[in-house]
Amino acid sequence: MDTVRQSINPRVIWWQDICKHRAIYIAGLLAMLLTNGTEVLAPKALQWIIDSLMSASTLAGTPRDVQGLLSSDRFRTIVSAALIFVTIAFFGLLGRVFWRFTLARMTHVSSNTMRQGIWESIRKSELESLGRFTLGDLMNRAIGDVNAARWIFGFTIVLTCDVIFFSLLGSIAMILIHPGLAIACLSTFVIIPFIAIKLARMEYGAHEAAQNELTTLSEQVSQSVRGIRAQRASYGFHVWTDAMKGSAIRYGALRLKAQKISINSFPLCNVPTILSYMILLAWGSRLVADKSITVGQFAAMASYVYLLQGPLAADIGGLISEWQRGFASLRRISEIHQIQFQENPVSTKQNANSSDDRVAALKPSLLSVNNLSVVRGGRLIFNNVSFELQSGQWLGVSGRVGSGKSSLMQVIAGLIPSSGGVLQVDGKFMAAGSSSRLTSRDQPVAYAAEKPFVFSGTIRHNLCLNHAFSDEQLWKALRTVNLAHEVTRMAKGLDSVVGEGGVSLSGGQRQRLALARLVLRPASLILLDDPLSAVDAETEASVIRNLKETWADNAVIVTSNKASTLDCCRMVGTLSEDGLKFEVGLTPARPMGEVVLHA
Amino acid sequence: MPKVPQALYTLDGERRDVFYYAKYFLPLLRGSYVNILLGMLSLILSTFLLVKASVALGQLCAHLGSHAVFSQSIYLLMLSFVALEAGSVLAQFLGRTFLASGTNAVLLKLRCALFEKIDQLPMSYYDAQPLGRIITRLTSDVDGVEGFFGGGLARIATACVQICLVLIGIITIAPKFGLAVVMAAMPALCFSWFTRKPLTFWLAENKARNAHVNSKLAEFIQALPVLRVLGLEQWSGDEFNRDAKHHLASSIKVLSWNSFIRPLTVFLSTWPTLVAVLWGGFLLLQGQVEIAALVAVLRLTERFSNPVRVVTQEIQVIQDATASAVRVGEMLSEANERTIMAPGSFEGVVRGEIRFESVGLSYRSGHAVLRSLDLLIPPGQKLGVIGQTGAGKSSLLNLIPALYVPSSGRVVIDSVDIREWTLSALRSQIGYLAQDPFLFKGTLAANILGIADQNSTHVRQSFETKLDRFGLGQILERFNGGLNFLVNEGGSNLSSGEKQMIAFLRLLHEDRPILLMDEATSCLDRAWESAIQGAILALMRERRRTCVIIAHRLETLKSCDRVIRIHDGKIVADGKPTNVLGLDLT
Repeated sequence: MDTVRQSINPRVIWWQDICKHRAIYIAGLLAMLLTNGTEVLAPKALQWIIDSLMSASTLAGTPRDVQGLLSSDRFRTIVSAALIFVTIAFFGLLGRVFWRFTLARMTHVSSNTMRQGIWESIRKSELESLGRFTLGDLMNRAIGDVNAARWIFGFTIVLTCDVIFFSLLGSIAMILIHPGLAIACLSTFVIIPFIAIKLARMEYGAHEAAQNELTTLSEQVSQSVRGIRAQRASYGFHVWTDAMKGSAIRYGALRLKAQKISINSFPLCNVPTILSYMILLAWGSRLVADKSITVGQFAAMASYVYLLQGPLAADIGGLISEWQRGFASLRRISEIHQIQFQENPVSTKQNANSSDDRVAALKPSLLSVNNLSVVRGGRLIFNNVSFELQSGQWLGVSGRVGSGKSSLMQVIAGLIPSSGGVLQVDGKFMAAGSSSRLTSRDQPVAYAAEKPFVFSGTIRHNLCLNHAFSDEQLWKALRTVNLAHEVTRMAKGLDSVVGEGGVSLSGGQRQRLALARLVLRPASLILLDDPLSAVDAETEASVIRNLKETWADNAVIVTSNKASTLDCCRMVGTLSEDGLKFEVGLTPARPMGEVVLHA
Repeated sequence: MPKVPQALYTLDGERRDVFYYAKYFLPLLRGSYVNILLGMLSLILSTFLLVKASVALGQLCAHLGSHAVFSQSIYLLMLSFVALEAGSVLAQFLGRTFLASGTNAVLLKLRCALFEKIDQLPMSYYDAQPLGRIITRLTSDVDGVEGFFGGGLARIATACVQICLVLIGIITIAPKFGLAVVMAAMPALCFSWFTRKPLTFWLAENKARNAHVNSKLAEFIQALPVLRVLGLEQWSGDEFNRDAKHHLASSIKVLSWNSFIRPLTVFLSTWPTLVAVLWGGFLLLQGQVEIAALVAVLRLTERFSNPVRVVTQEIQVIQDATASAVRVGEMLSEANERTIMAPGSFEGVVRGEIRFESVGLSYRSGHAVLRSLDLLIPPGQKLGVIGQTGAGKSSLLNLIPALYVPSSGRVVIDSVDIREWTLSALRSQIGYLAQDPFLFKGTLAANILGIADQNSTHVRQSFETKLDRFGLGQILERFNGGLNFLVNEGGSNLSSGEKQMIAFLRLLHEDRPILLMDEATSCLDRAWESAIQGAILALMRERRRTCVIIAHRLETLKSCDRVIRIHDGKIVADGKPTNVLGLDLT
């Protein structure tokens, strides 16, 4: 991971992306400038209006006819001032619409690009290097980090422009009214950014801690609900209730702490505003009395102090932490992109592809395993596994829990790399773990895991996936795995929804569904990793009988601990517990019918 | 753009009003009334002071304009302006502090009430809907309510109070043209009210699509080995990109709505200022209005657009929170297991005799899973149950701890109908093991011996001697550190077989009179399976425990005293394992 970290600078990634869409960003910046300009001009317009009205009100003492003459003229001034005000507001409207269509839009566009990129990288990555990330971690990056990082491509830029443009233009407007007074009023805001940044960081840290506790709580809730039946049957649920309550109390305290930081910083951020008001009143009123500034200008100053409080005091801290969070998230996302660039440990091996042609000419067995060994996480799983398998042969693999049956299957399936030895499928040396071979259109190897993966969606979706099989083909496959009867009983048949991960199916049904998926897809070598462990004995026997018929000409490897499953194989290999021995022997010839349980 | 699957929408079906559930929510407020009330009052006070400050500034401007000579009243006005502004800040600070404490207490109570509810709901509630939905109620829906209470409530309350007080302030300061100004504020308010509907719809759709893309990603990551071996990598990329693009299109649709709604709201909220300038200015020229009043009104209209903007934004939060609250309310209002079953008050020590007397059981759908089933399990018997999927094995097992009540006939334990037992007395004497046991984060000792006893040397020693006695002495050696081995959340660092083993050890430690095992050893290899079956046998001989085992592996059933086969809700075979299994197992 260290080498990966060094090569990523999220700021560079960010800047490259901005440059790629520079036309949009420049247009967006102009729109922001327009918006902020109108926001700064609005109090100015009010100033003109008040000034013209003030001079009108001083006319109260003049004779009526003169007043009437003047007032009609002044009324015209008021109307034109109002028109200017409306024009300003209208341009504000345009600016706001425009930056949303440019900058804000980029927030969503970049979010989409990042998410698509994540799956693109993951699906091409080596399973081994991907294994360093847990599912939760990957999903956190795909959801949480994308969510945090997308802002710095859009809305955060908007806010930053807002703060910079508005405070700049606002300050200029104030200085134009009266430079001395403006600087005096603005000086109170100087220390605030530093405090605000510190507070924003504290708040973020506290918020993060609360969020972590909430994640724990959610996991507990999810587990407790999933295990409700067993817990309730043995009156053990209160353990969960207590654990969840404890977690909820901790979360509540952490959350309150985060809220308190934000609430406590609120009066602090208002101190400069109040001080500014005091300066404005003390000095500004003198200036009005000296006729240095008009009452309208005085009122406009008060408006500016009020309006500048937001960008200068309240927003700046949050803004800076938003940038920091965005870049941190962007780095975590780009770590996923880096997985695919990791070197494939197996492809460096000399014999992987170079000797391809020479061996293909020999055409030995369909599968030939020679001295295969697997080391995972520094632990030797197995060593010296050798066997050959021809089309039409079924090989059983047995061994105790942890002896490496599943690892053997995964190596042959090309999912994990081997650590030594030679593996040859259909005359081709397999560069274990390399995805190039596996994505080829010609699929020689099919594999069913003990805990099969079931997609949420319908039965049909689970079987078809990328291929539109006919109903006839689907039912035939379901009959082969003895699932047709159960699917018929479901409310919507093939279109019944199985729920997330197939929750509405039993373990045995899930296994058989995964088998049906393989039945539908041709493959010369079929690997079944304890395929029927959760299926009752009768069904199992009949499924195996059907599969033997369907795959009579294929090479099949079955792992299991159950005699009933292994009985279907003429040959059974046993992995020793220390992983040092693999012995293949013929099973005592026992007719299939014998394992069937009769009522 | 294709429709998102219906189930993904949060706005599903007809729902009751949130006020219908008030009786479930109001008790949660108990103890927090004072904080919430004080918080609200402070927020109102804060806004009131703000209005007063605007009035003071208006008067100040008028004084400065007309007199130009410093009098005591000017100083007084200045002082009161600063005091009012500062007071407003202080009041808002206090209000938010009170509200935060109050709402946090309420939310904690809500969470605890829901956690208790999990154990009170009848099993039929869990059967009737997907687990995912229930978990969503307990997690994201509560978070949704929290999002509202946590910040939204304070913001929206402040904004509403501000709008009202500003409008009232305008009318009281300038009765002559104030009404016209207030009328000019109406378009902005109406606009934000009427645009909430389409926005809500598109937002819900957007959320659903977002959730869809995320769950697809999670699904694909988990399915990566399958996608690899089936050659579906390219397909998965296309699928994912298609869904992601649909989500992007939907996000942009929401954005487009907002691109017009938000700026228009801001534009419309400048109307009051405009009317104040024109109409107020006209009246001023006529000499009917004081300049002080006009400046104060103008200053107030400036304070109008911000809260309107906040309301427009927060309407979504309120609607989401209300929808979440309704769903949470639905869950809280569900009838409890105790109400439905009305259990009796019998409590006693279970000897272990279980009797089914012509028991029938039908689930909601009307589908009968057990039909007039008779069975007597004497204390100390180890009974195996076999049969096909859906034959009724698990239903039979679930009736013993009264997870369900038979539709006809009765289940009797030690000659007392299960309906007569208190649920706690009955269930605390039953040990139940399922196929996927649940382990929590903590030491192995905490998982097996319980959180309270995990560090007691006495308990640990007696447990270890027990293991030795039942021939399971080396079992703890599998785990690095023995009883101090750290189990991850959900036992993610253990294999399924190891999890089953730990769950069994927990059962062995608890040593309850009745043991029920539903495919509880299906992932163990032969050697451990027979060790565990041996331990069960030893336990039963020593303590006369009754044990019912559902299994499909012959190894599991070999050591049973008796095996029954269930087919279509009836017992079709009953006898010695050799007879029922039809195998020569010697």
